[in-house]
Amino acid sequence: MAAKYTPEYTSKLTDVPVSQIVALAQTWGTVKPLAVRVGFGLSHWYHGDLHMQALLTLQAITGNIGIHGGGVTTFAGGLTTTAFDLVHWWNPTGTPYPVLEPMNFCDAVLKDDPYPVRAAWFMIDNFAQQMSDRNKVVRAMKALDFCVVSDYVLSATADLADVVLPACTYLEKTDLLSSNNFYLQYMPKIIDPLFESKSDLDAIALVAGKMGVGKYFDQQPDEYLRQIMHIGQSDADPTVRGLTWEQLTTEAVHLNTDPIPYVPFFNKQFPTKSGKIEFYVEMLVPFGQELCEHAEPIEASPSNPLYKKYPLVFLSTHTRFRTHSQYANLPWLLEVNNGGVGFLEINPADASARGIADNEVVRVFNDRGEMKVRARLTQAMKPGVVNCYQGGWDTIRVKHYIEGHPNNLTHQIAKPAQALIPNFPSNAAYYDCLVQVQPA
Amino acid sequence: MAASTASVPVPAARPGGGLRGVRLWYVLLALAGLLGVVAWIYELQHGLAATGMRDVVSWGMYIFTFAFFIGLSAGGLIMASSAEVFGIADLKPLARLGVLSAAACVTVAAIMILPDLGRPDRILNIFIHPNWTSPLIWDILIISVYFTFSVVDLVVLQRHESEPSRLRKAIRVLAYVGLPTAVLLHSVTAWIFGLQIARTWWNTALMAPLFVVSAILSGTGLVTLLALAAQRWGGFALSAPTRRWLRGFIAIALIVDLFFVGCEYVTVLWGNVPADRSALDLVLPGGAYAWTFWAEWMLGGVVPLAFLLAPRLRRVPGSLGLAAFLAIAGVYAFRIELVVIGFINPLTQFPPGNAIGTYNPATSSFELVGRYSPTWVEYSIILGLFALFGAIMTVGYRRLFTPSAAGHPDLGRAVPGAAPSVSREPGGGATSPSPASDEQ
Amino acid sequence: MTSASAGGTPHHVMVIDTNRCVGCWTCAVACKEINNEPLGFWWNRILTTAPNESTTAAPPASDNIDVPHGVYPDLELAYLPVACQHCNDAPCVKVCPVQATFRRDDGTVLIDYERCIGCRYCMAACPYGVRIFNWGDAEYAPGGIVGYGRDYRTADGRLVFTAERPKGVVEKCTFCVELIDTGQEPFCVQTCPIGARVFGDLDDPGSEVSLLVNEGGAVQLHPELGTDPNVYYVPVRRRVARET
Repeated sequence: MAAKYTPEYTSKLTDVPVSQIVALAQTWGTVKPLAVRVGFGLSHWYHGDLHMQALLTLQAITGNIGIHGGGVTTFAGGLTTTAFDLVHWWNPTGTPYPVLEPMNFCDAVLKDDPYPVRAAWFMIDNFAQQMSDRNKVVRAMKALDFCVVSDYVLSATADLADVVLPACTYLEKTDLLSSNNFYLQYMPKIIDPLFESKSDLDAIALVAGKMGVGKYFDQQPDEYLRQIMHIGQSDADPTVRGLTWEQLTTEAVHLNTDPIPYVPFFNKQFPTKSGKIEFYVEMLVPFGQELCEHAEPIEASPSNPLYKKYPLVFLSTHTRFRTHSQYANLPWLLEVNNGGVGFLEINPADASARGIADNEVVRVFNDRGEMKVRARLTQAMKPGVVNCYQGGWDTIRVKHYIEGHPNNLTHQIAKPAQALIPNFPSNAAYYDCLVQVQPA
Repeated sequence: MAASTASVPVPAARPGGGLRGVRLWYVLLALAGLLGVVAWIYELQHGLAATGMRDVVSWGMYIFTFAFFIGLSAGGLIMASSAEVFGIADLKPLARLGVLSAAACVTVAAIMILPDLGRPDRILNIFIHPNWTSPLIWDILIISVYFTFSVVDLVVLQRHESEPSRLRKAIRVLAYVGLPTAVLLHSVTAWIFGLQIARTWWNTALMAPLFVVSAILSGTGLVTLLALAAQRWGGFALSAPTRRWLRGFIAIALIVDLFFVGCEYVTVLWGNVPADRSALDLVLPGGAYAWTFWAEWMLGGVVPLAFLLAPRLRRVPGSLGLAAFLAIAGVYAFRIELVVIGFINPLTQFPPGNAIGTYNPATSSFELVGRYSPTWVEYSIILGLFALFGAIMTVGYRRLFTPSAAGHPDLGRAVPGAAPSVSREPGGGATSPSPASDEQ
Repeated sequence: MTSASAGGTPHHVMVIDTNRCVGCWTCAVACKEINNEPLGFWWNRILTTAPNESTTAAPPASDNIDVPHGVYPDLELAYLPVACQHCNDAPCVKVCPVQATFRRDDGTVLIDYERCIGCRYCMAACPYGVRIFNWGDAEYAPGGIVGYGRDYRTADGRLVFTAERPKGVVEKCTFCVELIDTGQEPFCVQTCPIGARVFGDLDDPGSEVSLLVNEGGAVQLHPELGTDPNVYYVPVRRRVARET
């Protein structure tokens, strides 16, 4: 592989100058420890798993796995997979139950693939706005016999519901926060749910009661938290062994980690068949991915015949003035964020080639759908790439884009290799997308 | 000057409708005044948000009209005092009118400040906690002195009518004091703008000279118009020599005024400093405010100069009045341009710009380039104040200049021994039977 | 912190490191929150500039924020948080006819809400565009009062902060006078997630601000005007060398 991927060849594939590739390699090979911090953007591509595989391989080769200051992390860390005994709490008898991945939802509803789905209850989610291939999602949701949505705003998903259940915010219900760090933060209810809203837990319990299985949902959040972490019991996970309820509810608790600071894989034991890091992954042989070789994006590649018709890569990245589609209705953030009005970032060269002036309304389209939005000329875009921040709303009452939504352009092409990892949904490749742009 | 009734006919009745005409005039003034009061009450209730001003262009119609009226005032007194100081006998007949006009204008200007204040109820703070480094305080001071002076001057001039010899010396002294006071009045007003380092459009040493010369221009123009109005409706005549002097004053003041403005343009254009150019480019042809350029240089510049100097044009009936009116309009355009352009491109100008200070969800809360459009409130208040000026002038004129039992007022009457003044025909403008007089 | 040097009055300055500022607007929103600013009011704004661009130099790359200067791939982008510069020779203080705006001994420039007559001369005089006028009745979001939430007066009784805004007066950044007077740092300094802001006593040779100003090369905005602001900026120094 080293022979194949010369700096010159890599430079041709990536548009990164040879000198920078060499400099990066030299840094990576000599600096120790070296940590890699990855945002989710890298996984918004069809071959997102390959990106991670490559990073892990590189870190393993350079001896940066299992040492303090090394490793590969996304922003979601925290050991909660061990501290929270969710598996047993959720399913004490171990009865197998089906889990439908978001990427398979539409086909289940529309084509009974992998199995028929006729009703759905959405919560903690804005599926009809944030899922890729929005036109397909809307078709699927409209095809449902019965749809319930819990939310505290009238989102695009709620727009399509048969029943909207008013949910309360996290300030109105008790929960536990642990994300991106090694602390547990108990979040008690500050006020009672306003008006007729209810927490998701209460809503579920009430429905369960009407369905005759209420006895499984009859406890309060505090009790559930105790059970999930086995508080006061000897079989608590080492990370929370000895933790008392008093501690949990009065301070931010640091998980017990060994060592401190915690170093993943410090004992160099890996959950693979061989117990070692595997550069050559046998179970990926059927997918031609046993080594992390470069593969062109499934759609956004110049070698794709579609590229002739749709020559612009369409990104829909995150704006710092929202969290996905949340906080899109806050007046202060709207004041800073162009009044919430979406825009398409496009390089001036690409714009002038299409006769598009700054702030002019443009049509962004491909075979899956289209949207209309104002163009914002900026040199920050590489020629050949355009971007429209995701998370804006396209609901009956609120339209942050003039017409349509960025997810009208994206797709749900799933990568089979990713399905190999159990309980790990295959990613939606939002950025792996081609469009054309013209004046509207 | 001894009264001479021999060569001047006694007007039987004032032409132009007489008493009914005056009443209609008063009714119009009262309506305009009422509109102004209603608008101000509205503004007091809603705050200055009722105007078109916001944080970027934070001064508008009230301030530029204030400067305009101060200029008219100073100019009237400069003209009246110059007649005495430089011994221009043919202008002395207009002295009382000039001083009355000066008093009326400065009164209106002073009142005009009130609707521009966010807290007019706190106006006494100016007198309780004055800040001696503030040009606004200097202006309050000089306005107070000037107003007092002009009233005293008017009283003395009026008394002088009946007691000519006793107050001769007083008249001279007042003129010698009045001339520099008037110059100082408008210089201080100029320094409100000219001393500000934050506004490159204003920050020039030439601001005070420019203001003074435009004051002379507009003030003389105003007195000319008033004298012509008095001739039209007040039954009095303007002698040919007086007209010649007025023409000369206006023409020279206009040429010097344009010269000063031209010097500013040359300085900015040659220096080409971006902050200076960004302001001038708004004014020059092609800029968003090019109409002020045409108003100052063409409508209020070349055209009146043609009517004042070109041999055939100056014989046109009404050419003096037209030239005076256009010159005044040009000066008003200059005031508008001065204030508004000074704010439009702030010195620190990067996206997103300045916060605006009011909220409209449909538009941005920031402004990179200022915008200003007066509202009905501003137009109404200004109209009301123009009406106030009209009322003061009409009442003042009728009280002070009505023919006494002894004879006629001095307005328009020739100095004893000089050529007889033009005779007055009822119902029309003056005609000239005398071969010595070749202009209207 | 805000300790007085040798028992005297501190000389308060703020230093902002433009190498660190990423334009997240957290400080601007935090300022809006602690001061209960109405809609349309932003005492603190984050300007999109080019690194170390003279503020009287070429015009911005775009009307919009986040648009860099240069041509791809040779781009330049920097962020400049600008609020009241608390000038030692403030033009606003010089022009206020009623001394409603004044400089306190510690260098903070404040406005007396009870004395301001709303003439807005200070707004015409400020080169930095940091003053905001209460044009009408304030509109707030959310509905209630947030932040410090109450009146604050200086030692001589002048009302320099009030949560519910009166119509017709000017206001601006106060260096969080109610916080710094009790030994805390201004809220923007406390909330900057990246540590780009430092506040302290310039007269204290050991303070971080004095090190940044005297040895760290921190500069003022528009120094040629002579306003002598108490807000300094560390210029951008870290540049990635571009090779082909």
